[in-house]
Amino acid sequence: MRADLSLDRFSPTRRQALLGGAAAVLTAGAGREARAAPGTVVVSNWGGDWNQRTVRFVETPLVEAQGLTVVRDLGMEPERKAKLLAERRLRRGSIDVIHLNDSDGFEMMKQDVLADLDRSRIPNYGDVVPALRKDYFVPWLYSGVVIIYNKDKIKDPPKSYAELWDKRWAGRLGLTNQLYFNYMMMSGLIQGGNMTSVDTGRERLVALKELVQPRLYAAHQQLGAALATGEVDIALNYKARGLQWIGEGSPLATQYPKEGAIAITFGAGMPKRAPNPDGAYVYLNAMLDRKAMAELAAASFYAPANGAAELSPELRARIDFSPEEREHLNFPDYAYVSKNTAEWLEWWNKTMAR
Amino acid sequence: MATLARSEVLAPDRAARARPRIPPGVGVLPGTLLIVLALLGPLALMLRYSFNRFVPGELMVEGLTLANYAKFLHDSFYRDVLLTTLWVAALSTLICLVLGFPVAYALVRQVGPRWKSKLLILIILPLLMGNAVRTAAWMVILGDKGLLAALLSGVGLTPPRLMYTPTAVVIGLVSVTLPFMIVTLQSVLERIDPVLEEAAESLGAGHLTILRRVVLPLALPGLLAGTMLCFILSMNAYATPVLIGGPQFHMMAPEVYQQVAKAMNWPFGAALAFVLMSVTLVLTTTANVLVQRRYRRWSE
Amino acid sequence: MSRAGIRWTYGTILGAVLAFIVLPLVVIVWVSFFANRILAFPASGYTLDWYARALDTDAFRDGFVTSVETALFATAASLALGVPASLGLVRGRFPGRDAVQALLLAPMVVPGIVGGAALFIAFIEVEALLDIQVAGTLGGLLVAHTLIALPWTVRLVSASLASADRAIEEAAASLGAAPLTVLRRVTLPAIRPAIVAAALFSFVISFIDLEKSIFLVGPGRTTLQIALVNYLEWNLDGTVAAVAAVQILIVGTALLVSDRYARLVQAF
Repeated sequence: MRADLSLDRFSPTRRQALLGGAAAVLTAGAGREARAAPGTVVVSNWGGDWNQRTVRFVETPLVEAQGLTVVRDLGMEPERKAKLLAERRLRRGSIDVIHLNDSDGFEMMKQDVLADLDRSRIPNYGDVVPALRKDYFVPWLYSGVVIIYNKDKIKDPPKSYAELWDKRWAGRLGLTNQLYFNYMMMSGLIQGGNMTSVDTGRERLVALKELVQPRLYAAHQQLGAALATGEVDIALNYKARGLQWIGEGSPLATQYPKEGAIAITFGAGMPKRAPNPDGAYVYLNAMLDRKAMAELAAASFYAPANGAAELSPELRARIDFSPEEREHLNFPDYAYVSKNTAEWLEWWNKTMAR
Repeated sequence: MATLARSEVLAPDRAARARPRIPPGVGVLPGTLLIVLALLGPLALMLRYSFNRFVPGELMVEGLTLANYAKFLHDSFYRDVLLTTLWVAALSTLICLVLGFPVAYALVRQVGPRWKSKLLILIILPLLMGNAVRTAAWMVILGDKGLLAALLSGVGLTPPRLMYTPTAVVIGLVSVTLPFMIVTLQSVLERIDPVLEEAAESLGAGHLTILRRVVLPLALPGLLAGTMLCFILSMNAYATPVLIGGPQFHMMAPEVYQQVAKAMNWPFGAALAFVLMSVTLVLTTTANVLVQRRYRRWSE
Repeated sequence: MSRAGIRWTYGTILGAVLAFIVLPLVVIVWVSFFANRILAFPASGYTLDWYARALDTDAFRDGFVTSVETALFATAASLALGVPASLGLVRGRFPGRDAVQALLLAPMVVPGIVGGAALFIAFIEVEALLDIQVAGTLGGLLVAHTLIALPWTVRLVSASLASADRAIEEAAASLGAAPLTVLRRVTLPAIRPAIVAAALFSFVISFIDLEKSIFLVGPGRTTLQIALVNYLEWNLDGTVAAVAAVQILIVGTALLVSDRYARLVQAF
């Protein structure tokens, strides 16, 4: 054993240096990040494949090619929303563009977080499907909740949501916990004929649980795995997900429900105190670029919000909705959702997710 | 022979004693300051939030109400969430204790010195995976198309459905807390003089008797520390129940996150957080006090 | 039972429990070579593609670097604050010592998700009052990680100090050594294994943290654990396994190396 053990690490001077260094780091970090460097766009987005596609088709070829640097804040939307909401009262804004779904976008707008967009600065907005347009939101990719079923095992699939309330699906139906509010709106739709009848629709959902005992999965990819292994044969999820699973080799097919699919739209907004609004507008316009939209649609199987996107006829037939189907898409009543979603989450946890 | 006065013997030290002495207690100040600023302060803020009102769509509204705590007490769902958390934590801790003690004892008494270090590292290494990856590994082991299922069907047995059950959560929690228990116990057992056990053996005591009457009483502080650590880690568990428990399994920490981040109900989320922490604190303090009292009696 | 029988029993239990603890690790490394699209048994083939994919993903590379940097800082800070604190707790005599000890161990009792959320809202309040940004900065993240590492240092070093032989220190003092010299040349070397163990655990605890960091990462910065969880939201494939395998290889090697400088056995 060495007689003179080197303890430099713990000598007072070294310790002081460490602490001094720490103080420097803390304050340096504070200063640097408060200012947005010119030519930087700060984007808040989901991670994983979603982000990879955004980077590949939009950020690299269309935003960074223009000399802007994209800095990303990636995570699940609950954290991203919570952080943005907490920052409301501050003078600084940290995010230029935030990717959200339509309901969350409405909620952020209502909480005074999102700015109204100047459409003259987003030339591509003119091509956006009219039903999707909003003042505070750039719609981007959309899909609908459809019936996805194993086409080898099920030869006569249900043609409407209501037909799922059938004992022959007992133990064979799979649901994704994340889509709880869609399922609740769906039962309200069946029961009351509109998207604001969730209260009357609840009993219908409980009946589904008793009749069919649907299997509940935490997230989409577990449901996909279950369909692939035959654990369940029929599911309710976005058409885009169904197409993704078909592409991965599962013997599935999708069926548009007679009541009209419940629509989901993903897009982005610009927070009010965005550090670089000019960069944000460049980004938002790039999202709607026709070619980018076409490539995104092909890669993600979501339908593009830009009606003029250059999709091949086969692709369009597969991922998009026919004019008639699009006509019947059911969009949520955002104000209604915003007011009730917390209570719905609780009811779902207590009743269905038990 | 002249006798030396006490002061003469201690004379060489006079110079040293003349220098002002820094009381060693001062060392706690920086750490304590950090904790006060970065833990107590924020928690106090959160406590204040728990008394605010929740208006859906409005986020948090300033107020002073006990409604959030009342909601917890009156709603059987949330009481059940707490109960689930308690029994899962208790069971995991018990299993850790039962498995951890023999392993720690074996490490200290049975294993040669060369192996001890390496085995300890082997026990700590899986912790480096992080909870996210470890639970992904358990999903691959316990899932319907996982390792266990493949092995069992390979020999003709039907594999049980383990994924998304409380059993899977307990397995996952044990897998992450057991190393902490083993390391804590090992440190305490290491300090027990083997001579005591040898003496007992030479007096004719069987091994279990030696454990019961010599080792366990001496190891009690370590047993307590390890138990409390595992219990706290299990009570506070987030990633494991969320990823392995599935949507139908509810524990307190995931529920706090749900309320705070998904329902945007900060007041209620804060209230749940404080209920969780209070329960954990009360239980561990009580256990501490009870065992200390017992220990003091034994060592008298 | 005979002595051999006892040894055999302990050996079996030791082996079985070790196998249980190590099983997830082994499975993850094994599965990182599977060619299956969705992780399942049996393997449909073997491939190195997932490793290529992992190294290619910015989030994992950047996350790994951030996690290592943060863990190293947290370790240093935890030692810098925790060793003096342990000295103060064990050797000091002052009113409220028990309360201070409970306080220094408190971060362990607080669930990560609660501590992280609370810290976040506190940072926002600070910014609202003083106009200094802390939330989403590296500094804020470092504070959080130091906080969770500190109790470990205090626990491990205090335990060692409490059982250290004071006779040697008293001898040194009576030979004329000043208190700081005694500290530097007698006390600290005696507890060196505990300090190394504290460094080790501080590093591990910081590196594996997920919940405390979720609200505290900002644009352009993520930790490896958060990047993994984000990835798992979309895919359960070999990429995650490959990342885990690489991470264990690198950090595990560091563990083995540090073991050569202090026998961990005496450390805890």
